Amino acid sequence: MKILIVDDEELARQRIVDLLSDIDTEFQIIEARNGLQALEVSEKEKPDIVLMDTRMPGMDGLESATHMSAISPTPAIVFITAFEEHAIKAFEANAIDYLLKPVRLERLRQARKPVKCSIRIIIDEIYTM
Amino acid sequence: MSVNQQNMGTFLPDFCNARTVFVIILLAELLAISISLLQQPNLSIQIINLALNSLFIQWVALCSTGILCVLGRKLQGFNDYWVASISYIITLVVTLIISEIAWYVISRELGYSYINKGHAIFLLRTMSISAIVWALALRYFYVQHQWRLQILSESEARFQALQSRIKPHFLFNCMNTIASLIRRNPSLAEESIEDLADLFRASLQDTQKICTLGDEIELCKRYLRIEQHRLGDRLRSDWNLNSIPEDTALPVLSLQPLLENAIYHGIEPNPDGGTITISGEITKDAIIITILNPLTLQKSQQQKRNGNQLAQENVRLRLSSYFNQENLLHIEQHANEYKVTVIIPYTK
Repeated sequence: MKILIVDDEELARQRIVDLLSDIDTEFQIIEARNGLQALEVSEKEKPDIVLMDTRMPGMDGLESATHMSAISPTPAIVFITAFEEHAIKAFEANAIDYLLKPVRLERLRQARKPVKCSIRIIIDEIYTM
Repeated sequence: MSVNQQNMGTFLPDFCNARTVFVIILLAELLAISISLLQQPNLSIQIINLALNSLFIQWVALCSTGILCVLGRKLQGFNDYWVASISYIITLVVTLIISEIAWYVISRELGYSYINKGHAIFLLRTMSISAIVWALALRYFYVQHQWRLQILSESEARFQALQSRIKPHFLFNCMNTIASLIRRNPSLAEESIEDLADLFRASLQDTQKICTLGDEIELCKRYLRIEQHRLGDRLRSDWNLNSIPEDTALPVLSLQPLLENAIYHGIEPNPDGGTITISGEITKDAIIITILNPLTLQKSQQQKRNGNQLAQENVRLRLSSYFNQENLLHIEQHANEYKVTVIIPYTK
């Protein structure tokens, strides 16, 4: 599974990388520093999941997420933010989940479950077409 | 008044409330007793007077309360002058009507002679007493309401001040950074926790407290170190403070909130970051500290991050109240840079 981590802070990205490697070492992890870069990388790499900060310089996470719905297959977006104020906007931007910093390993593990399901459903649909 | 008055309704109490009604009955009765004590020295006549006065005053009080209870919600949109005028007129009209009824009942049916001195005088007396008592009551309600509003706005201001000093975004981002550092670089994590603790100690203490310029600069450096871990090479800082005396006194957190603003508005919104320049120079009667940060050109980003005035205003107020001097904080905004100047009065 290919996971894109988007955050302007290097240490914040590192933390997600560390946590993901605790869950599974088989993940293919790519990184981006802002919303615009995230869009470019998503076009090229087609990640299954995007773990994205909401507040970033340049293009922020919410704006990036709305543009991501144009990419096919559309990645599943999980927002990661420091403070609960964008939660509703996040879901409007088609996020499937919303995590708070500092991110907990357990919470990240749970966040993946609906993602896996939804990806499986999409794959199943493709096969049955 | 910053507290929204819609939630508070008018300054009048809720006249439908049983407690309010009880207090009004009690006060009306005390008024009846006072008036009776003034009227006749003879005890037996006093008791009759008390009965009649009570009957009259309770009627006026309860009828007015009833009408104000029904009208209460409708008065909510009006300002204080209108509410006061309307309720005052209502109570006077109620007094007038009940006075007329009382005059009619007592003079015609009971045939008491002593109030036959004249219709006009009776009305004048009842109306005057009612006008004075209701004016006092309205004044009391108004003062009580203002007092309640003041308590609310004070607690709100205190909460805002606390939140402006401890920004939730900063705190949680910082925690996240430390969580990340614990694995990668435990000694840096340790240092960050120490710096964060110092910053919080400064933020949580009394804002009236005084420290030396050296302490404040040390706090700024600790703060910058925390942000450095988070922002990495996007945050560059340039210190030119060599020549200034560090023993001069100033209120705590006179510089750190300004530095925080510089990072929040000048560095964070820019993908490439920038350089913050902190310089100090000494003139013959003051130490001048300037904090310079670049401005991002994107208007949309800047608009999202408004609200730096709160911290600046707070610093400005505390500086002027400590040094007893105005204009100690200057802001200059140019096309691509933002400069804050703090003047610290100093005598050698």
